[in-house]
Amino acid sequence: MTESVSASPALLEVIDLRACVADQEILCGVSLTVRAGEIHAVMGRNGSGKSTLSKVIAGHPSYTVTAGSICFNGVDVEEMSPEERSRAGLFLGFQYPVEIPGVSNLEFLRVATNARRQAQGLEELDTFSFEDHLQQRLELVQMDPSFLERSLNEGFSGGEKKRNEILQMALLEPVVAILDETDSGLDIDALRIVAEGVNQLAGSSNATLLITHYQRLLDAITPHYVHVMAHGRILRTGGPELAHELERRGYDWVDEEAGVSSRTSAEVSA
Amino acid sequence: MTAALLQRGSWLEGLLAAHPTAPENSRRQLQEQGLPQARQEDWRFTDLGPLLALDPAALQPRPGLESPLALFPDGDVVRLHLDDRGIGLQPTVGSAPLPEGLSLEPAQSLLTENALLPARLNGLMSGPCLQLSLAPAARVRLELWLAPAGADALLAPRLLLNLAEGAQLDLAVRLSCRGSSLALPWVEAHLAAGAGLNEAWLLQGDASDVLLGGCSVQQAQGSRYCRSSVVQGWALARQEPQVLQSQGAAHTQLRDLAITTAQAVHDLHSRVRFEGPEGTLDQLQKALVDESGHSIFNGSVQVPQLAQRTDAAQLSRHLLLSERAKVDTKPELEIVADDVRCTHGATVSSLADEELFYLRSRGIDRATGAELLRRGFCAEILRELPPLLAQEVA
Repeated sequence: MTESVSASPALLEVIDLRACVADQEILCGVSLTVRAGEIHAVMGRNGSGKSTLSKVIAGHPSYTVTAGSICFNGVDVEEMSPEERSRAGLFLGFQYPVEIPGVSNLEFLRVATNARRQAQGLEELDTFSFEDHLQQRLELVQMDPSFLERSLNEGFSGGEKKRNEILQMALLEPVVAILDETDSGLDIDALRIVAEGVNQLAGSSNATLLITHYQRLLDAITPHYVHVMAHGRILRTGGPELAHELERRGYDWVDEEAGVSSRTSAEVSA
Repeated sequence: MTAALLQRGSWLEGLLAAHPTAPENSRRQLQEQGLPQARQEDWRFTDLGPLLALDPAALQPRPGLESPLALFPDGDVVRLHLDDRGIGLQPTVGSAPLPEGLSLEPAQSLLTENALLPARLNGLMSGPCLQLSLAPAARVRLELWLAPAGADALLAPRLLLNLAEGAQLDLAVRLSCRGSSLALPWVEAHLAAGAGLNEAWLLQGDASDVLLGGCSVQQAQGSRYCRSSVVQGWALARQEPQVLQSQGAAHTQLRDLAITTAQAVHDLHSRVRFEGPEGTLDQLQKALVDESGHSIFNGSVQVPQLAQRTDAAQLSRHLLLSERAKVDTKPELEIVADDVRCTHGATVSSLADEELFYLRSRGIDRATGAELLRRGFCAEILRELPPLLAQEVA
């Protein structure tokens, strides 16, 4: 279902995408077009395929694309590794950022930033230049610099991990950012800081895809489009008012109007 | 007599013949004891093939290289290196006058007899024992640079450390061999009440070198012993640190890392015994095992009846990076006392797919990401070493 009507160029085009993991089909024909300057929100029950969609777009090796295509900036990404997709400007903000003991957060950020800069034809940053480069991004997410000295996400609270994700987004300057339940586990202040960061990074030449369960994130980041996902497909697309309606009425009516039965077993296990 | 026994016997005879001036009692003890066999529980997993592959007649003391860098960058540091023969130890010029409260002198022998193979082999060599004594409350930093100048080297440095009450010694050791060599370092340490000893060892060898080393540490009440070691390379490297808390109420920290690649066999057999109440132990053994490497860990912790309220924690963690790599890990807790807290754990895992994907999703290629994860695994122990020593780890 492709509802975008803007004349700006399409940055992400997902066409009839099917994907499976361990022989179980999770995505059953997803279509979505995200254009420059747009913010999209994908909502849906647990297990509807939202997180799988984000991982498949990012190139997670556990998932196999069985049909359809993903075009990023006009290029089919099927043969691209996760790192190639990232360097090209695709960013996935994780729902559960992993903790990696012993890997310095600062070193990780520098290596990642330089990988992206190299792909952009920019000069790599040495340790000192990188710290200057980092400073203003730290202010964006109001992150304590002491977190840079720690191991990557190790011992971080849920809010600190999400701020670290947005910090990475600020450093990598993606063309398309997919934020998978960035609001989960955040207190009110952390949600505000993260949302402000996302709003400041959103511009006319990039796009954002938010995956969320809650209207509260969409109160802080106003999407142009809201999509409802169920059974591995997008069943309905609307404007910001759709999220309000979902908040009031739940998801069953979307299923009924689409003529599908609600809550399949896939929605529990995906 | 089996072929294996014959091979061990003739190798040992060859070693004894090559060192006719070795002390008679050491020769006799070693002849009686012989080289261990696989049917002995402590040597069940440890293949002595790399040792038997060395030509005992070719092994010779080699002059030691001077240290090209200071492991402790500044301040009062005593530096030792291999003596002219490459067996014993002597202070490097420039460290005089010695720091206050420190005395260095040759000793006839160690204070305690030890039947472990590394100690026996060390005792066989005719290198002198160097005794280092710290007066009460003295604070000293000591560097040992043990690097023979050539291949086919035999080095058997022996160090006796006596730390009086409240004395503090930081010891950093770099030992490296250059092929077909046998290294037999042995340290005996006595820590009086309130004394502290921090040891950091970097042990690097060529793929044909053999290391058989260890230490015997006795701790009085209120003392602290912290050991960190990193072993890398070698055909066979077996370390046998032994710690005795003779009165309990002391603290022992052991941090050992093996980077086990190629065909290397890295073996850590540690033993900590509490002979008094309220002693503590914090032990972490890690090994990164790749290619056809084989890591062996046996951690013995003995808590007899009189060692009530002992608090001991032991953890063994292996990162297995190849299908041909092998791990044998065994905690060995003997607990008789009933009011104690003793924990142990062992993990063997490969690189986590989700961690690797996270790094790749940030533009970091698979090889670089895997290297970051490998370094991350090692970092916990590397950061216990003086930075300049840690930098030497490839």
